[in-house]
This record gives sequence, structure tokens and C-alpha cells, in this order.
Amino acid sequence: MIRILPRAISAPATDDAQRVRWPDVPLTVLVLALPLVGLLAVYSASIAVAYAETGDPHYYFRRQIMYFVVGLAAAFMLVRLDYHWLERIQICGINLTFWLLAGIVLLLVLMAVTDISHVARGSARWIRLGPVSMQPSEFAKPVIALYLAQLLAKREPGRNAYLYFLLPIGILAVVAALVAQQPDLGTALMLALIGLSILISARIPVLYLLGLFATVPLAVWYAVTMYPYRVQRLTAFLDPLNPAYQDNVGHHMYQIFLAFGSGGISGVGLGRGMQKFFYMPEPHTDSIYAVIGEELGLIGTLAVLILFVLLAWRGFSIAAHAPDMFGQLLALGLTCGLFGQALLNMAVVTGLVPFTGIPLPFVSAGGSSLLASSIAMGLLLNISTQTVKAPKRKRERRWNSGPDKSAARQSPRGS
Amino acid sequence: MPRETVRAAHVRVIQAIAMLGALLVALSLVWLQAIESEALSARAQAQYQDDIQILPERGNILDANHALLATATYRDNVEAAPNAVRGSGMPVQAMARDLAPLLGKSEGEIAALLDQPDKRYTLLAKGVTPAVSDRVKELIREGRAPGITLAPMAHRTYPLGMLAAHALGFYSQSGSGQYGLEGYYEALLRGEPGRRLSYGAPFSKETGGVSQVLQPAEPGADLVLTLDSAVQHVVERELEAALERFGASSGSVIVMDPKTGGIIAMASRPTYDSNAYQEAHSPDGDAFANPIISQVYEPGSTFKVITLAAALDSGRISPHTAYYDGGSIRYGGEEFSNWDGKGHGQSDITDLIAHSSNVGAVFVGSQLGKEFFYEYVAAFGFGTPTGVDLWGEVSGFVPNPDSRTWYPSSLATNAFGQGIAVTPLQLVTAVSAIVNDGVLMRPHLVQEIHTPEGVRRVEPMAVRRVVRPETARTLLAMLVEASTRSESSMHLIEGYTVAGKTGTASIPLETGGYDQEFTIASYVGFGPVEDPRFVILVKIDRPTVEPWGSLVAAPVFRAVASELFLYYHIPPSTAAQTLVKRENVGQRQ
Repeated sequence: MIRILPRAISAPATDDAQRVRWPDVPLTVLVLALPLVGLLAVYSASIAVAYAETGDPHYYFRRQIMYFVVGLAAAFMLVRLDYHWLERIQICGINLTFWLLAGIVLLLVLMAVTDISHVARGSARWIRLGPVSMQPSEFAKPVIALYLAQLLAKREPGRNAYLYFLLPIGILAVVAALVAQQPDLGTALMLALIGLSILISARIPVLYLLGLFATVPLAVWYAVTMYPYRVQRLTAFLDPLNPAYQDNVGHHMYQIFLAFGSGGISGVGLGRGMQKFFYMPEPHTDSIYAVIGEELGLIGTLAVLILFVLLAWRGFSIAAHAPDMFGQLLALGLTCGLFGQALLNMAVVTGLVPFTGIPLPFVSAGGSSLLASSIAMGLLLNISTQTVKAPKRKRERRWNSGPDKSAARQSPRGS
Repeated sequence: MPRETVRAAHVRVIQAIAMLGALLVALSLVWLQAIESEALSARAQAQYQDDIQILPERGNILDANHALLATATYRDNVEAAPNAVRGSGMPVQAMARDLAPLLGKSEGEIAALLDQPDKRYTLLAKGVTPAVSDRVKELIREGRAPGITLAPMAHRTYPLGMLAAHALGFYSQSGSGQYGLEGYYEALLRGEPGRRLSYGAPFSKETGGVSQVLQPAEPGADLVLTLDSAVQHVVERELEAALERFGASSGSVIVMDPKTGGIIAMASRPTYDSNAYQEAHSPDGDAFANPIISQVYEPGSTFKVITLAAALDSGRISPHTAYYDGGSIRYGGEEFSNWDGKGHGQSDITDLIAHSSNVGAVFVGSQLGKEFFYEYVAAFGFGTPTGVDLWGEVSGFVPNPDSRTWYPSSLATNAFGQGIAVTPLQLVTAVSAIVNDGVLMRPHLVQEIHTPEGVRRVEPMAVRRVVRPETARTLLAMLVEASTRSESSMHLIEGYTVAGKTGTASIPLETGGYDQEFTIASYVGFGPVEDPRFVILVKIDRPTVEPWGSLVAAPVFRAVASELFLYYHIPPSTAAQTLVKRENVGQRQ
């Protein structure tokens, strides 16, 4: 049933230019550094909440260590696994990435129509599996990147262009809608962002893309008005320090602002923050950046921001040097997913974007988020082992090469 | 082999947007953490600390032997943080099902209070019993009551229950003393609240957190009473027995030390339990008002003692003044009869007392004249509050001879205690003045006030001399002599010399005239005569079995006085000893 196709698209690994090399060093550092920063932050941010909820102040910290280890193991395995295999394995004649996506969609549909989901904090995002809960929407992120990247990479230019546009859009719409209704607008937005980044980068006719963007305001309006609390949050967003909102809809934002402000430049010191003691909701998850801000100050928040910018820089660089379209699109989708989510979380807590609950990748407490992010990192690292090291002057032109000129310009092996 | 790549220009746009986003976040952080930091930090600091009032401990009330009558305790308020309840994911209905039976509310009520996800505080129940507190704590421990907290609040316990409830008053749920001593001494008992700066998490600031006392609370003063709970117990027991025996529903007894004006016991029925004052209800008016100070009645024959004291002191009559008692007398255009309609022939003043003759009282009143009569009545304290240290005292009513509603016949009526309204306390205080050699003392309940600074004794306070000591002594001797001549002996105690005066008063109707069916039976007496330790007033309202003070109230006096002789270790006196000691009384002063 399971069949691995011969290499059809990319060149054999024996080729000198595509020889497997060491994974990208900065990214390797990041895959350790970011979760370690997260462990530190979770340790401090979760003690009060954990103690109140379970009687064990280190409940979340302990679990986070476990997820960190599992995540590292997953990333390590994926670094060793040639990402092309994901594209080549076929089950019942259909690509593996499709089955992964189908599995996720099935889970999401089951969660929507049955009561297997576990409701917490007003949202049905989790499935209980014995002692742990799993959040399928988190795993939807790397899976949708994989599926769309392989789908669009094997598309032949000029043929069935509309099909290769409508199919991804349709799949994205279904998955994002399933997640949005949990309700989990933040993750739905991230899925859309991953999909869009791949669509934009693939060679979809520009006219189609313009048409797609025309529908964005409509989708936003729908998402906002579907749940009345989002309208309230929007009102509070426009005036975060208004006392009228401090005890109700604007409470969360107001307390986040106080946390950042209390931190100042150098912070009050790790573990010494007050906001996590039930002044600020969700200190260990969605608001963890504010805890970092309070305890480690502007220095700490900028350092975390720089780590994520570093991640984006390496991610885009790996995408640029990936050996093929699949690798490029996959690297782009994963990078946009990780960095985009970090940016969205930070933009929310700093008041740039209306409030929506979304974890900070690697840092917020939560197993699914950390594991899914580690998987994305593993994939990225594997792509980095296969990048094409083009001469400096050629690398400059790399992004400029088009399919029509590819025969002339694009043959790394021919250089 | 041609290699297709992504569209570079578009990727550049994505990269640019990403970097722009990062830049905006960085700028935002600078704004929050560098530019606005101080203002936000100040707001945060302000919310961490609360200036919390430290409740002072309310003073205790102790009886004469320092037994606790009222003491400060704590009860828990059950509070909830509805937003935390929602955050916990615990179904509101399940919590309501657990809590409702404990808190004595309906499930719907509790569910409605909990289901307010935007609120951070709501009060579920006030001052629950310790047993309920324990059950709620258990629920919290089991994790079945997320967001529920217990907050202690000041409570008051009256260890002796209903004993002396009218004297004590009660501590209301709104946090202040009401009625009785609790009301009167509110300012002293309450103490001064202190202030503490508390630093901590939102829900722990009240109870925990780090706090700094800015000013300690000053506890309320402890009150030590003249009231003796042992005597009070006897008085209440005897009062209740008499009410039952004579088919009455209300009545009062008061025991006073005539030398100091100290109230040793005061009891009224119906009464209430200060611990559960909310459950008290009265069919007619105020269930908490103390009838001894807040209700007036027409005293009837007991008031003749006052009339006689005035007449003897003014010199208008002497103990040997004689008059003819024909059973009725005309005065001021009206006819006045004795209670039994019978005449007693040639009588002296002692006979007047012995037979409680209305004819004699009217005669004495006529000899005295209105100026003297009302002057003395006022001097004895009638018509003005006695100034007792209890909340809610009334003045009573004495007719004004200069007013247009006053007729000469009013003097005659007033002389035997009708047409005049007094409180039981006014009467017992006035009689005590006669027993105390003519000096009127201010009645009081508190003899010591204990504050952190020390003990302040409340010295007995003489209001004024009302009659000369000789008058007082003469009248007492007459009362004793009258006891031996009287047809009633229900007040007598073997081996002890006691004396007093009965009263069977008519009850005025609101419609005018007097109730033909019911009376107020009363007795005011004192003992032992040689060195009076107590004055007792017994007042039984509307007895249905017997109407007479001599049969209804006098036995209560006897029962209480008998116990007091034992309780105070007073040795019995023979008649001879009594006479000798009476001489001693005459020489004392």
C-alpha cells in the first residue's frame, strides 16, 4: 500500500551541490534556545496559576519540560528524515501529506459535531488522550504547510491554474472555519496566513491573488461579528486604558499593559512579577510575553523579539536556498507560520492588534503548541541540510529566476 | 533539468511585512516599557496595595461577677469571583447544587449570582455558621467550588442566649449595636478601626498578602454591669412562672440596689434571643424595645407611696392624721370609690396603705394640693427620663396642672396612680429614693468600663434629695406596719422583714375610659427593712386568672426576695431584732 516514488523532481543526493550537510547552525541554536527561554518564563509565570488549579506550583513547568524533551526528539528525527520522503510516500495511491491533512480534518470535524472535545476557558480546542490533552489545530499548521507546498510544487505552469488556486483556497477555508468555530480565531488566522504565504509565493496568477485579497475584509467582518465578545474586545482595543473597560472586556489588555509598564527597561527581576498573581489572566499561556516584559524588562522582550527575527531570517534564507519548489514553499510556509504567530502574539499583547488569544510559539505553556513548533523546526532544519550553496553573486539573483528562464539560469549543478 | 522557484518579489513583500511587524512590536515595547513605564507601573503598584480597614474587636459585656454576657466572635461571609468560576470551566449549575442547601438559598439564586462572567466579586451569603463554613471549606478543598472564598466578618455571641436580652440589645448584621446597652454604648463598645496597607494578589489582600499596619485598631471597651446573671436568671424564671400561672402574656420585673441605683436584674416578657434577633417578631410594634424603659403604664396603687411621701415631707399630714373612710369620696366634682367599694371607717395613714384605700389617697391628695403634689412627683423623676444607660428610654406622662386639660379631679385620680403614665424604671427608681433615705439615685447598669488605658469606675450618682431622711424613714416604718395590718400576706417571707405596696391598676383604653376586664397587677417592695439591699418591682400585664397585685405580683416578689436573701447571705431577723435595727437605721447617715 505504501509506496515511495522514485525521485522525480529533485536531483539525486549524490550530486555534489546537494550533498547533505550540517543543519543550519543559528536555527539549531534557536530550536534549543527558544524553548529554554520558554521554560524559564513558564516556571515563573505559571506558579500561581498552577498552585491554584492543582496544588502543585510546578505543574505546568514539569509538563513543559516533558513537552520540551518530546519536541526535541521529534525535531531530531525530522532533521534526519529527508523531507522529500514526505512528498514521495503514497498510501493507496494518494500522497502522504493528503492523508495527514485528512486525519486532521477528520479530527476537527469530529470535534465540531460530537462532544469528544474538552472544553476549557470557553473554547473546545482540546481532545483528552488519557493524562494529556491534544490540540489538533496546532498540528494543522505544519500539516497544511506540507500539503499545500507539495500540491503547488508539483503543479505544472500554465496548466489548470485555476484548479491549483481554488483547491488550496477551498481546503484552507474548510480547515480555518473548523478551527474558528471552536472558537479559536487566532489559530484559524495562523492557518490562513500559512496558506496565503504559500499561495502568494507559488506562481499563482496575480489576478487570482488580487481576487483573494478582495475577500479578506469580508472574512474579517464575519469572524469578528460571529461572536459578540469580539466586538467588545475591539471596542476595548481602541481605548485600552479607559477605566470603563478595566473591569470587564478591557481587563485583560489593561493588566497586560501594566505588566509591560512595571517591567521598565530592566524588569523587576525573574520571578518577582506581581501580575501573574491573578491580576493578569493567562499569564503562562497567551500573556507570557507580558510576564517576560514585567520580570526581564525591555531588554528581555527585545531579546525574545530578536530571537524570533533571527528565526525568520534563517527561515527565509533556508527557503531561498531550498533545492526545489516543494522545499522552498514548505520552508516559507513553516517560517511564516512560526514567525507570524510570534508576531501576532506580540502585536496583540503590545496593543497593536485587537485582542485574540494565541500562544507565543516555543514560549507559552502548552504541549501541542511546543510539539507542533518543534516539528516545524525539524522540517526546516532538514531543508537546511539540503540547501544549494550557490556562489555569492548567483545567490543574489536566486529569487529573480523564473520558470521561463530556468533552463538558462537555474541549474545549480551546471555552474 | 529546469528548476522552478517561488516568486521572489512576492516573498520580498512577505519579508518586508514581517520585518515591519517586528519593528512595530519593538516600537510598541519601547513605548510601553520606556516611555509610559512610570505611569503604568504606578497604576500597577496602586492595584497591588490596598488601604484596608482593620476592624476593632468589639468590647465584651460582663455581668457583676464578670460572667460573659456578650462577646466578639467571627462568622464567615461566602464570596465568589464569578469570572474565576467561568475560567475554571466548572458548570455553574453543579456548583449551585452544592452550595444552595448550605447557604439556605435556592439553586437558581446561587446560579444567577455565579453566572456573571464579567464580575470579579459577588457576595453569596453573609455570616454563615461555623458548620456551614466548614462544609464550604471542604468543597473548596475538593476543588468543587472554584472561585469561592470565605471572608471573616465581625459577629456577636451572647453566651447566655435570651438572658437579659432587653438589657443587652443586639449587634445587627449591618455592624452596629442596637437597643439596650449595645445601642447606648455603641461608641465605647465599637472601638476605633485601624489601617493596614496590604500588598498581594487580588483575592488574598484582605486575608493574606504582605501587610504593614499603619495604625492598629483600638479594641472596644469592656463593660462590667451591676446586673447579676444569677439574679437575672431567678427573676426570669419567676416571671415566666407567674405569667403562666396567672394566664398573662407580658410582664416585667426589675431589681435595683436602692443605695446606688444599680440595676441588679431587669427582665420582661415577651423577649427574644440576641443571637437570633432577626427571628424576633412582635404582633404589636417593636419586639426589641425594653418595656421597662420604653413602655409606660398607669401605676395605680403603688403610686400612693409617692403621694404619701410628698404629703408627709411637706408636713401637710402626719402618720397620725386621721380621716373617715366611708367607701367613697367626692373631690373636684367627681366621686371616687375604693377598689372593693367598702369603707374602713375611722382610719389613719397606715390603714390607707394597708387597705390601699383610694378614699384615703384622695384625702391625702386634697390635703397636699396641686402645687406640692406635682412638685414632688417631678422631683421623684416622673415625666422625665431617668438617664439610665440604656437605649430608647421614654419620659412618661405627668399631667400639667396649668394646662387646660387639667381638672381638680385629676389631682385626686393622680393621687392613687391613675391618669399618670410612668415607666417601670421610673417607679422603681422613685421608690428606691424613699428606701435610700430620700435621695434619688440615677439608675444604671454599667459599673466599670475597661479600656486598654485602664478601668474607669462609674460612681453611683445622686440626682437630688427628694424628701427628708426622717420622712423616708417614717414612711418605711409605716409600710412595714401596714404589712402587718394588711389582709394580704403574699409578700411575706418567714424570718425576714420586707415591706412594699401592691398595685392593681386600671388600663386606659385608646378610645377613652378604662378597660373593664383587665388590670395591671404590680407590687413594689424592698428588703430587708433594717438595711435594704434591693427594691423589686413586679408588673404583670392583664392576668386572666386573678386581677389583683396582691395575689399575682406579690408572690413573685416573695419568690425573688427569698432567693436574694440566700444569695446575699443575709441572716434572718426576728421581730425584736428588726425593731432594734430599725433604730440603727434611724441613727445612720
